[in-house]
Amino acid sequence: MTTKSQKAQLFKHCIEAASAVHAECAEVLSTKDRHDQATITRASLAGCGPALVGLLSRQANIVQSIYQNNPRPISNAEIPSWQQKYDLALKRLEDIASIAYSKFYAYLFEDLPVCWRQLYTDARILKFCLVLLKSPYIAQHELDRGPSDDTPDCLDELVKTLDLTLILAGAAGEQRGRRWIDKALELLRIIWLADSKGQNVDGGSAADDDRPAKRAKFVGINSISNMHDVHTADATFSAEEPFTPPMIHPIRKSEALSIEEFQTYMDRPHDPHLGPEPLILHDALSEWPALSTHPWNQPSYLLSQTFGGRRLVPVEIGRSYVDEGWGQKLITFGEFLREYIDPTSLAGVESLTNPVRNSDGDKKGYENKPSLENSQDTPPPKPTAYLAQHQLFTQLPSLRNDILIPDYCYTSPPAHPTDACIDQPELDEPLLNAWFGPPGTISPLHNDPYHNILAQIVGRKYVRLYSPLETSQLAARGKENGVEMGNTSMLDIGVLEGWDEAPAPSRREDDDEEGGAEGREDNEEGSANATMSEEAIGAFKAVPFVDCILEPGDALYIPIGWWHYVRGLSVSFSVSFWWN
Amino acid sequence: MAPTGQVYKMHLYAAGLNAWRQLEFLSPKSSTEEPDDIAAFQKVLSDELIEVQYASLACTIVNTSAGLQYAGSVDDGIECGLKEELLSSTAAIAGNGCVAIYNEHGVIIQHESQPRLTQEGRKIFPGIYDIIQLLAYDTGFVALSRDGKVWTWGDERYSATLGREVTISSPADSPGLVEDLENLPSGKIKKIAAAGYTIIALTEGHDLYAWGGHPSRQPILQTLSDHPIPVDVKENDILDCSVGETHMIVLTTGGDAYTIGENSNGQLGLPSQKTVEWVKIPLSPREAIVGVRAGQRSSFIVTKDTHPA
Repeated sequence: MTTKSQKAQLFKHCIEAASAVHAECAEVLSTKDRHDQATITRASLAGCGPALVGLLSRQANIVQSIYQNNPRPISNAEIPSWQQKYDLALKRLEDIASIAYSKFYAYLFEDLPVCWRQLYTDARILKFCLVLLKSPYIAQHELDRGPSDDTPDCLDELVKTLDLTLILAGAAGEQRGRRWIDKALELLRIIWLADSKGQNVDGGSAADDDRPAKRAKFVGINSISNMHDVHTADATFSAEEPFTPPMIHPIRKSEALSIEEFQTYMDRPHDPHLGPEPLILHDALSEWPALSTHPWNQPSYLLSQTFGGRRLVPVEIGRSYVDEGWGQKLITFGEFLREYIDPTSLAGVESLTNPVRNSDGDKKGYENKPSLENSQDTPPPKPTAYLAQHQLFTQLPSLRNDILIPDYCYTSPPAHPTDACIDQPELDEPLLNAWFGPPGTISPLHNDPYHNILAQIVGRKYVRLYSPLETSQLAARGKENGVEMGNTSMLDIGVLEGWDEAPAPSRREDDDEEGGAEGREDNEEGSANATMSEEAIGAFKAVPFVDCILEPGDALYIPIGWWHYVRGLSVSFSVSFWWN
Repeated sequence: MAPTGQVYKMHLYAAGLNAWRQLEFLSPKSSTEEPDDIAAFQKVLSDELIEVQYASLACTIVNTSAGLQYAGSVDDGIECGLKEELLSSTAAIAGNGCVAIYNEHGVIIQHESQPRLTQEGRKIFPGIYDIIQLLAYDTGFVALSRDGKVWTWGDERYSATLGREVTISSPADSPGLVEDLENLPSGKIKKIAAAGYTIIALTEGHDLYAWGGHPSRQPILQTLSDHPIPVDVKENDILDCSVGETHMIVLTTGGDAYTIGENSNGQLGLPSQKTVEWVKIPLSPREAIVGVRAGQRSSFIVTKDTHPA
């Protein structure tokens, strides 16, 4: 068994986590001196108070004892008490995580003491350890080895438990945190890959057929796509573009520049008051595996890098983040592809796809109806979902290897042309964000506090930019319901240009699940468009801008402070690199 | 007062989260087993006098004929010299760590973080007299004065919890009057309760009002909004009320206790996972319910024997 050592490693990894949590809690609890405690209160678990630290400590102890003494009940007589102990520990870890999670909302993000993120992280790590015990991915005696019916559920649960921690809590904690989780997921991936291959060899197809159809499909995808040489499923995302806006003032284009040439471009602007202007760098991503050997335009490849689509990703639901009804939701990458991105693209790898496309010519259309397997009656059209501004590559390091940080991000760009307050402390390294969505995603007109290289990998995007000198004409928002929105304009370009209908007030898609919707408060003022006079609209149309349609392989330089409106035309995957 | 020699015993029933044995007063079991939650209301204490003084996430404090009785894990706030104020509802600690203290001279002082009460970020709100209850929820505070006025203040992101307009002259983060609660048909507000993102207020004429809600969570009551709205508990008049993080408990003038909301830790005292309808709690007919109280994830019912012991 090739995975035996990985299984043993994962087992050990879990024991070590449980004993480390227990030891760390014990240390905090023994620090009775209130003065000492006060000084470390925001940094370590101590800030969560003795009640919660004590409760976590007891659960860590239970996990440790289960691992060390009897990972599984040995005789039938032991099952009830073992199960009771196991279930209660699992419940208490959920309690701890939910208490910590409530603090994520109660505090402003920048004020949230790290202790709550660590408490959440440690509770989730311990939960992972418990769930792992019931999975086939752990070293165990041959005795109770047998085909386990709950295998797929277990894997979903294991991956979800750690992904929630990465996404919601940023996997905090010095001793375990992200490092522990990345290692656990990597070991689990190796074991699971080997197991699923083994199953196929052993004629596991019969077993596959017994599984619920939906799950079996994804297991199927994996076993295909992970054997890389057997790339039968090389279907690519649909290139369909329901609507293509006209380009009016095309941005200057250039072949890829050297780092020196780019520095010169920034240093010698046409207008010294304005600073460097936007520039399209054609064919700038030629070295990227994401555009060649590890093709991001193939759903099967992306699925292979996400535990067969099991990894969770945060998506924005709704047309634009300033619309009423907008919210964020965590869903699996597989569901995101299947339900929102492009159901047809999975035809090659999925046996049972039968999508019904809403093709009534509506410009902002492309609101997929869910595939038939889910639709009993006539469900309402699905809203747009957008994986936007997510640090996907911190969460999925393997995808990070498919892209390269452009050399341009190692230049010294100029300060903000008009407002030095916007400039941020120098970043150690560029900030990477992923932007992946179906046709029709919209980032409303806004500006960012960094210079940006927007790299287009899959599909096409329309981008329109207004210079920082036009800021006074762009109706910047203010503070809305306690959230600073000053970098976002009230102008809805799509509506003003007649590409979109004005968004109708819609019911918010509520979701009280953890990591569910993080909807914004209703914006009572709404967008300015509804109340804009003809005159005002005319004035807006007179504001100068530049625009472009990015093709795969293009990189767009967006200088700091430039207002930009971004619209996905087809299925589109971009990566932004912020730097200063 | 009961006639001399006749003792009407009181009882405390509890249900919900018990991870710290905060629902256990009777037998101090020296058990090493982890305590489980209590899923159906259970009698946890009997005495001639029972008043639930404090019910937080991990700690319960009850006043009895023998003095204060503690259960669970004693809070930081209780340990850090705010005990008197917390027990008498003249100080409160919000879920975001802010502490507000009423000082009897018409001044509310707010500190940024607990347990250390530093000068940093301290705010002083003068001119608020005769406060009889100062309570906290996850992101703010609510105060009630003797003449029935209700003030709210807190994090503007959750403006529904303020129950009032937020304006430049009446910002979210300093106390502002909830004007909708003035001149109500059934008299002035005599009691308030708050937890999570929900605030409730009870009038002298037994009408219950509620407001609040979190933008991405199911509200406890379907009718919950950003201004006070009367709560209909199966058309009953309400005598006592309390609210937890995700549930509510009330006592009707007819003597029945009802709960509603999430039941993740058994805090409803019912078998269902959650309820969006008010459900009556079945209790012994030999006892009369005299009060209800909610902890963050627990519920308490105080009863009194209808016949002398």
